[in-house]
Amino acid sequence: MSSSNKVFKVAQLLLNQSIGENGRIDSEKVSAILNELRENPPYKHIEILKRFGFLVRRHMSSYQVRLEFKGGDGSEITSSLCQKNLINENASDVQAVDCPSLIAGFRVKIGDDVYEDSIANRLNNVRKALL
Amino acid sequence: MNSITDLIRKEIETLSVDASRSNVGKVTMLADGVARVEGLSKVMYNEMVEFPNDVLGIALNLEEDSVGCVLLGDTSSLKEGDDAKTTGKLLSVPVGMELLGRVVDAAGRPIDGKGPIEAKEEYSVERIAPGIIPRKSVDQPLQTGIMAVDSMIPIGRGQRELIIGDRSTGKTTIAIDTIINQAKINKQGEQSGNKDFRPVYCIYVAVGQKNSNVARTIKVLEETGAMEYVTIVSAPAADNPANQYLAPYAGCAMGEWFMENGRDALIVYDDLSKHAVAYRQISLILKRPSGREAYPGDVFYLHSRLLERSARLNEDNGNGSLTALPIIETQMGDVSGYIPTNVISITDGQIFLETDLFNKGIRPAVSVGLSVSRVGSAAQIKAYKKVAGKVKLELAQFRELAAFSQFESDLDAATKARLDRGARIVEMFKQTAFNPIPVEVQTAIMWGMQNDFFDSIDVDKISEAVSSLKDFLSAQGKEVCNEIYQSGKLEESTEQNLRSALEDWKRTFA
Repeated sequence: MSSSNKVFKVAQLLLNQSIGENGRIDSEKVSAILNELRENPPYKHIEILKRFGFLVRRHMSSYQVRLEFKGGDGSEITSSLCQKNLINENASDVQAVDCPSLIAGFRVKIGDDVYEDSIANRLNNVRKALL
Repeated sequence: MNSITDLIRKEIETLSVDASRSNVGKVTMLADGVARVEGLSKVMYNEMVEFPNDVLGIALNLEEDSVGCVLLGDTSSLKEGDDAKTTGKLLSVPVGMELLGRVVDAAGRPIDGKGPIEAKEEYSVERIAPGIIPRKSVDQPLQTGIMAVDSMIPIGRGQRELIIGDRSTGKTTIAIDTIINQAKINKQGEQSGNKDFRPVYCIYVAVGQKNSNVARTIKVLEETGAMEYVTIVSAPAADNPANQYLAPYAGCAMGEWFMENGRDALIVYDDLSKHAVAYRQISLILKRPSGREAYPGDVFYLHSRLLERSARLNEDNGNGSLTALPIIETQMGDVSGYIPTNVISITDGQIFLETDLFNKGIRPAVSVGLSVSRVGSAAQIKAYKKVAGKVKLELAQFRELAAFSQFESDLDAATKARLDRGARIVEMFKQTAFNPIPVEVQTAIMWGMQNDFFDSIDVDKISEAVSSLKDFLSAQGKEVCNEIYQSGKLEESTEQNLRSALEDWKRTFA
């Protein structure tokens, strides 16, 4: 196994150790891991830390929901999405932001995925079709 | 936790609203037409990625924490931190008859100022080559109109014939001559009203060339009336390497449309050396491991997957064909370079052009010893095969004897006759650029040579005699030429007519 593969594997193990029972990153566990690494630095310590940081960031983004909207009330849209079980307010960190550039509609970002139904997006599609 | 986010995704996907879904990332690095993007966790290999200001990219490197994208078009407006999002599409180019007579870029966008292209279909740029079952052996000729090529290195429809040589040896000229000849044959065939006539449409792909050269090529094609059968895909030297890398594949997709729709097409890749250099540049920026001459390990696959897409399809698959004429530029005549040997091994033969011959005024400067066509002779018409069968051997013997005869003061009669014949054949094969000769006229000239009509003419007057015979045949020898053109054979009666026509010509020329 190449050294970079070992780094990836160790970082993945550390990530697994950092996840709490609720599936989220547990900050206490992360602190404990970092202390342990500081006291007993492994081979390629910095690379492992960089990779671990990347994996933690990526995992955290999977339950961070950013709701951008224009028109209506953000809390109303959030609660309506929650009522329809689209978002679980207890399990997800929902951040609702008023976004005038959308003109009207909404955009939901979950990790890398973006779901959008807005006037701005439709106008952009029309513009591309006309180019 | 993941189950909750999965639930959200599922629920959102089943919403009745027209929500569009995309996968996004952020640009973390930009260099020479390549962007490294963090995110884009669901991007597919070769998928088109959209950047701000309508810049498009193609995902080429899928790594665990980032994606390497080659960028198409003007990338000067992009900056670090910009968003990139997936499109769910592969790069496609417009295809069809609407592209004939047009000049397009690597993405199939018109760059000739003649307005938009109203193409009805699009083909993906990267396509899998036809397999074994739909293919057929090459059995129809594709005449270049160049006597030296058509007689000694015949090309068939569906063949891949490499044109290789140093800079300024006439590689592009051979390709352009071939295109002009196809246009002439197409016009002749369309005028004849023959229902079985199959025109050959042409695609000229210019990779890494000077814009002035491309403009000159377009001008030549327009002046000779060939442009109406040609599509030019241009990725000049000033274009970014991604466009230069993609242009041959885009051109090939356009050619494949003709092939898959039961038509014949010819594609010229001018040239694949520069294509390999563009790919090397992209690969190095993407930090792919490099090998010999810093080319990446898959540089053979780069060209093999492109050239394998040229084929002759059987009747069950439309009977179409795509003939490829890739061009490779050698350095100091070295055919053993990395890219030349790769492409030589992929293609079905090569036309090697020598600088020495070119400088001696022997143009086209085809090297008889190093040029070969592995499948084309099966496609040669019978009449031409009959008169041209021995020429290659005669010329090769002449070159060898000519080298030895320099040291001999007294030569025997047989050797002298062979040298005389060889010198006349060399003169006969001299041909000016952009002036292809129809196959029936070539047959008549070759027949004249084989039947000693040129023996009494001084060697330095052979070119003049050939030119005179050409004029004579197009004016007074039309009937016999038509006979050869229609039957494709040299019957005894045809030979008699040819003899009397050549005797008439000989009287006027002498």
